[in-house]
Amino acid sequence: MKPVRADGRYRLAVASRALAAIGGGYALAAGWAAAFSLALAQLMPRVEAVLIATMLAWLAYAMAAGWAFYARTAWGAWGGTLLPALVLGACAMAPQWMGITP
Amino acid sequence: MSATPSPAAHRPASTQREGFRQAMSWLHTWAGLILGWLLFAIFLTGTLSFFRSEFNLWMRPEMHSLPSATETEGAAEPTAQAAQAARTAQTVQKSVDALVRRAPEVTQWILHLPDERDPAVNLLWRGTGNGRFETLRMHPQTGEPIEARQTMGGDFFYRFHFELRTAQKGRWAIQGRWVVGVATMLMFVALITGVITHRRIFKDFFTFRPNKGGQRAWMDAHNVTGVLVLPFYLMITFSGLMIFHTLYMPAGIATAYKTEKGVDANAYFADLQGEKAESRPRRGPGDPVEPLPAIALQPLIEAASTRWQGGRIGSLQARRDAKGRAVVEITRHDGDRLQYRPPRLLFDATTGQWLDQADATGPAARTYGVLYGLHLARFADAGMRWVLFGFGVLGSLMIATGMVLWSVKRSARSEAKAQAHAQTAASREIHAVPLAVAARAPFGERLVAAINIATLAGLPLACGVYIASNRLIPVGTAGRADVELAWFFGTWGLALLWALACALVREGRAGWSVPLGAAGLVWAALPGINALTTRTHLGVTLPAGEWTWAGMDLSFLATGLLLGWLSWRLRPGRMSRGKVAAHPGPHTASPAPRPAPPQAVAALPGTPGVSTSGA
Repeated sequence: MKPVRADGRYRLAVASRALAAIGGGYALAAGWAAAFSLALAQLMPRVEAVLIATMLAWLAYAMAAGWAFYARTAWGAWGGTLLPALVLGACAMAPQWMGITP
Repeated sequence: MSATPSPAAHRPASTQREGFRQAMSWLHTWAGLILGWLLFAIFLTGTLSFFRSEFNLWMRPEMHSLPSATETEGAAEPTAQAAQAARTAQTVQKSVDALVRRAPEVTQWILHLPDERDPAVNLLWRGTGNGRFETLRMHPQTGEPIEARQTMGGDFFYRFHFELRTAQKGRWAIQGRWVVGVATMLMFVALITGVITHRRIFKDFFTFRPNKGGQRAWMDAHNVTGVLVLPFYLMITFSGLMIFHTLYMPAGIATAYKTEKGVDANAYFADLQGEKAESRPRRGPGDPVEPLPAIALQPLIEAASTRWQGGRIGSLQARRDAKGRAVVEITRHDGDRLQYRPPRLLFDATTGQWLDQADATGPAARTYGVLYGLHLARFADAGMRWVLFGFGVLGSLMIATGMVLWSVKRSARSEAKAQAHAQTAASREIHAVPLAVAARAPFGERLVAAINIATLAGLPLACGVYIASNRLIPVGTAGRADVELAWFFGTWGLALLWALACALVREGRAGWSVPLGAAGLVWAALPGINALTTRTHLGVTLPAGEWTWAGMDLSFLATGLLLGWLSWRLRPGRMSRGKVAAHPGPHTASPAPRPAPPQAVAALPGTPGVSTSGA
């Protein structure tokens, strides 16, 4: 039997990872969908771009959730999901920040 | 979720990692269990929804007298084609005339033509800008409205499946869709990670050891049902996520469809359906809309029939587009191809001029359409429908065995603890410790066992009672459709109370066998109840060869027998061979007619200890 204190700490870490998987994973998937829809829309009709990006976004979500539980630490789980999400989000917002009108 | 990779599996075990693994399995089992209950309900009602039209028909016996709409032979020949178009036009015109007599101020109507699954004309209409639709069912030859009993029919299973609908006009549709979406996403993650980490995936295809009994058999059953139709599960979860992607994952639309005035979602929906954005009016519920003019429909139907070279027409719609022009949209039958939605032809209602063909044609849009079509299975004929139904049943079994496995694992652990306890007690020659009390399972385990019973046995019981209520509630009852749902949820609640009582007061296998037996009785009694209350029973439908009707009664009977058999296998006092071997003791050797012997009771907190070996 594990000591109760360690058990509690680990459970907290697990809860943190679960949050990273659900919340961070969604942020990553949404960032992916936003950025790639925008990028692909330069090459093909908008609806095609959105559909391709969104279909791949579900895979990104699943992989991000897997990563959150595979990462060495809970911090790694958060970093591995939120950092790419921020980068992708920035890419999606970049045209607007640079004043390029859609 | 149990298949999510854990770091400990890949690295040398340290105490830290081992602790983490424990904690993770703690989270997974609980999260997986709670979602498992939800997923089981979603999966089972979704499986029943493959026969939504058949339920809709069976639960409205007043529609039995309608002539069956059969496909015309040799529809490709020009003469037959013209005759069919003329018949269709006649049906449509009669129905629309009847509607206009009833509601002259109609602003929009959608008319579904009868087909081999539904013999009535189904008319949805409204006299408002964007309010709720009213429903009318009509005789295809006379246009007379059919006064069918108020019921949700198969639509209840369908609505519960994707938005957890609890009333005919439920208010929590969007919230329900989100809950279902979260469950779907977790199932998707479990499937993907399961495939990646499951090293024995091919071996498990061929591994089923029912004779081993107990935990091993449950594990094998879970793996076999899980792996066998894995592509179906992947398809159904992924397409489920994609069908509602505009709700769950609108980020792509938000960037690609951004304009100066905000996100133009209307343009996206139009592109997705292959329509022009201006044909999609955006109105509030109370916005004034001019009523529709009189429309000559026959030339439009003939034009559509010619353009599709005899392809079936599924439905027609008349409405005012964004500019206020009256238009008619003719939709091809959705059984004609895999991709959903079927193509639509747009005509000007006043001049009869052809305006546009709306259809998704881009590769990604067509992929999306095929995923949508696969999920809805409108393309499937009777044989394919039964195959998909079988896959759905297997999926429900995969979830059910997974949840039972949880309980079996836990009870095996408690059992080992109990034996150790009993040995200590015996060595000290203390007789004051009753075995059953010493080995009583923890509260959490008993609670889970109870909810397992309530979900896995209670839901089939509630479904059976819902169908029975359709025949037993008087036809004139006010709010009848919701009374039927009250029977459904009431029964489900009773099953939960029963299961809780069994788990908290007196543990035993009666917890499983009673609700399953009741479910078996209700399902098996359905043909009898039907015979006593309607004129559409087996005595009429079998000699007439009306398989749409008779097939339902026969399937109910088969379901009842199956559930009854399960209940019999789980009856109190019956021990499986695997368990007997696991409990050498004076009590277990003799098959007692009273509730299971104390050790067994303690070891099986409401767990069906049935082995899958022959009886």
